[in-house]
Amino acid sequence: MKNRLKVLRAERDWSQAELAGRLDVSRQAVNAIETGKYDPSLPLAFRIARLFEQAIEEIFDDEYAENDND
Amino acid sequence: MMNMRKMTMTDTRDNIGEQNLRKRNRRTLSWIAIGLIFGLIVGFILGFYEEGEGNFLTGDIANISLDPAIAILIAIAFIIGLVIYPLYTLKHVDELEVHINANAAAFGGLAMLVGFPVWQVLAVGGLLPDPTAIGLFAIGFVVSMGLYIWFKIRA
Repeated sequence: MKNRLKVLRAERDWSQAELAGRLDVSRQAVNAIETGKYDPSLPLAFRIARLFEQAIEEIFDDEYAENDND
Repeated sequence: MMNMRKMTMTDTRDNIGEQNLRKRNRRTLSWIAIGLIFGLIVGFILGFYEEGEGNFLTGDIANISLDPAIAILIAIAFIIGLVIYPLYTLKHVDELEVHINANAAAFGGLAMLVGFPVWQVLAVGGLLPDPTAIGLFAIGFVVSMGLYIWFKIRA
């Protein structure tokens, strides 16, 4: 799943390790989410959204939304 | 855990995340070290107390004898080391680690399930010796560990 995590992290000048520590996950988890190799669970997605003070759909791209609206 | 998480989420101090991550990594390393030490102690006890001409590693289990009390102790240690301890530690790692562990364990179990009939039919055909319990365990273990490392590298 595409997301804006890397952009949001860069805006705050945070390293992957900094973000991982704030989310209480491993640095590898942050990297896997940023590169789209792993989709976070809903609770983790909410934690990410809370940390960046944005809605989940503003961070994560709902790739199925266009198909559902057809 | 929740208090730490709330504090982390709202904390504006620089590098608070990296400090938390370092603590987290130290905790993870200590769990791995405890697991390794536990395994070494169990292996040492097993090697020290097993008697007879047999050998666990070669599958010649019929010729091994073990004091019943030691056998019970080691069986309990195996359950703790292979079931209870991993499940406990999985409650304290992040969800990616749980995901990787679950996938690796599932494929390891599948390898054992499939391994027996495949090995047995090849043995009946005269291509391999008869399957052994330790051999099947080794297949499951190697597949599980191999896939765990593969998934970790790819993540």
